[in-house]
Amino acid sequence: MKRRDFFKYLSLGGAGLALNPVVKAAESSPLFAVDDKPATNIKDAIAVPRVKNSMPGLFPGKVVKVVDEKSVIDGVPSPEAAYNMLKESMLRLTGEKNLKKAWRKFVSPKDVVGLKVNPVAGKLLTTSHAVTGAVIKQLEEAGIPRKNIVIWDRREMQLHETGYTQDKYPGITITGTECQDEKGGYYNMEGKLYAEERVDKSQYFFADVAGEYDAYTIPFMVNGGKESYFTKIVTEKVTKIINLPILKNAGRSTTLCMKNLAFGSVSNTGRLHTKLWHETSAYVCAFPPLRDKVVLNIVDGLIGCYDGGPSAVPQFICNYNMLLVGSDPVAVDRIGLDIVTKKRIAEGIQKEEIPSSGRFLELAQELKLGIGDRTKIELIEHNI
Amino acid sequence: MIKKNFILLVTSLAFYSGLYAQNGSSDFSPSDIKITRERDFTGTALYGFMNGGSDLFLEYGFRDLKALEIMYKGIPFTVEVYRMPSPEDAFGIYSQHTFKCIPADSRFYLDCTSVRQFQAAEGNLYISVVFDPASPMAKDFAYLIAKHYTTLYGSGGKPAIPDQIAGLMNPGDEKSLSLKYATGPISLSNINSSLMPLLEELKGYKAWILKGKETGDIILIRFVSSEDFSAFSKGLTSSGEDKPAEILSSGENVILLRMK
Repeated sequence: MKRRDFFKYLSLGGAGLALNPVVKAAESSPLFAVDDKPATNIKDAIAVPRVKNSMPGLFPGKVVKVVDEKSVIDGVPSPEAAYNMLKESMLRLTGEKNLKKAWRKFVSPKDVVGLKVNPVAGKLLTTSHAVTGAVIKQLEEAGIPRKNIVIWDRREMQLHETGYTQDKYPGITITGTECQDEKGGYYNMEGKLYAEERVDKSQYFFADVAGEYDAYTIPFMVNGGKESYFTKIVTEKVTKIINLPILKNAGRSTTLCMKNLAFGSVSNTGRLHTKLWHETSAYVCAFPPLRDKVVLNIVDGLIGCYDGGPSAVPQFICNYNMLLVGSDPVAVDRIGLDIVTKKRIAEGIQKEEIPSSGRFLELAQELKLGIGDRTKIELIEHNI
Repeated sequence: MIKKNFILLVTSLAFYSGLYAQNGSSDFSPSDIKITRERDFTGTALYGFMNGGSDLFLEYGFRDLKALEIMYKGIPFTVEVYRMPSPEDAFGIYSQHTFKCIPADSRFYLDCTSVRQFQAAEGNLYISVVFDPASPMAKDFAYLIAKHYTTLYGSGGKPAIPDQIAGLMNPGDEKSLSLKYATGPISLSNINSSLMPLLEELKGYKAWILKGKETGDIILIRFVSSEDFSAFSKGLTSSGEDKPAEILSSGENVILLRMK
């Protein structure tokens, strides 16, 4: 069923759903009504009532940008600078004078807090240990025990490759969906992918385009077909998520808060890149495991890139020397996209802003996940 | 005369041996390469290596990747050897990565160096050697490491640049700087997006792009069928004042354009 047919169906018979203001907004939006994109189960996400913590969280449309030109020393992000930048960001975001109180607005000692990092580009361009370390330190200072902190991403092996190891982070759980055993194998004794045990087949993003993968590829996709299952890390393991993407481009767009969450949380993503990149980035974040658990977004822009992303291409890696922080992932992504676009124009990669590169922001705003309209965003800037 | 030739010979030998020693090749010993990590990715398994970044490589028909982390003389290097279907495709993916990369096009048919990376396209291979931290010695070794692995895994052959494009290149033009090759919407839109609305419904086309300095880019597009060629030509000529390019010439399913 095409999406426009779905909305037609909703307006005809889905009375309960039709009363939902989000559905109404979506129904009347040209973004949702006019296209030939494959149908999805976004209706399932919209149908689940929102909760107190649902995106955009405590501070809709508010983004803090803190810059410290000395935050990268000899090519290495400074832990001290990252700590101070994060502290300034948290105090300015929350309006608190006390750092512990600022953090406790988002998390409590009872929470199991998942830190969603982004190690996919390898050592050159991973979420820095300086920033992740600063988050952990401030969480601990706010009373969150280390045993309640989980560093996670889609691929456990990439976490290890980029230094997210038990040795470096004692007492903290390091985990991923896709994983290997000690011998590098992806399958257990029964010939089943280890990763299959780590996805929750009761919660999925459906899109009417089937993933078909060969034996080489399936360990990285977990499953083929039309469903992308959520990882149990987000459905079962953690109660709150702090999102730690990197300030980097993805083609002409960016891979910041929403992309990091969406493509990092579900299986079978190979089918989604080409036709449904923008939709997936927005829609997957609208499902409860992400929508209701992501409380904070901290974009690591100490080192980032302006082209070649999401991979790490050395000539495009640069020191932005900044953090972008907010509870609203859409607003943070809007500001991040503007920064990366400005840099791309300055470097001669592109001549002007390309409106279609922010389509996922418009979709996300339609879904009430945050504010993508830059005229409605409160940007607080601070230079150290 | 004999004495003069002898002096010339000695001078030449001294010059070349100096060059050889300068880039460290006289000291290079492949047996000193210590592989600390080795991974292979075939076809769409590239998603397991670079997620969404794979789409660009797959559009060029990517076959397989040998990803190595090595140590050489105490310096860490990351080596990626991409095997593509043809020298054209290897050149194509290479041409997507040459921005701010200083072209040499001398040690390989196509090669360039940036702050922390050496890249080359040789036969059907695209190779990237990343060194971090950057140092002159690491830079020299990167080339030698690339040479070693292209010899080990590569095939011969050079990209067949169409005459219409080759004929427009000046003798001094570095291919790594001025020439691009695209095989679909992702690769072409990275280079020049003006034509994308006209190509939206078409598949399988190949495009050679000669980047213009003062004048616009020159693009040669080869279509898979006369229907695609006609559809594109019709779309272009009916664009009116918004026409993104002027037609320089056309042939059987081929069109040569100058971008505005």
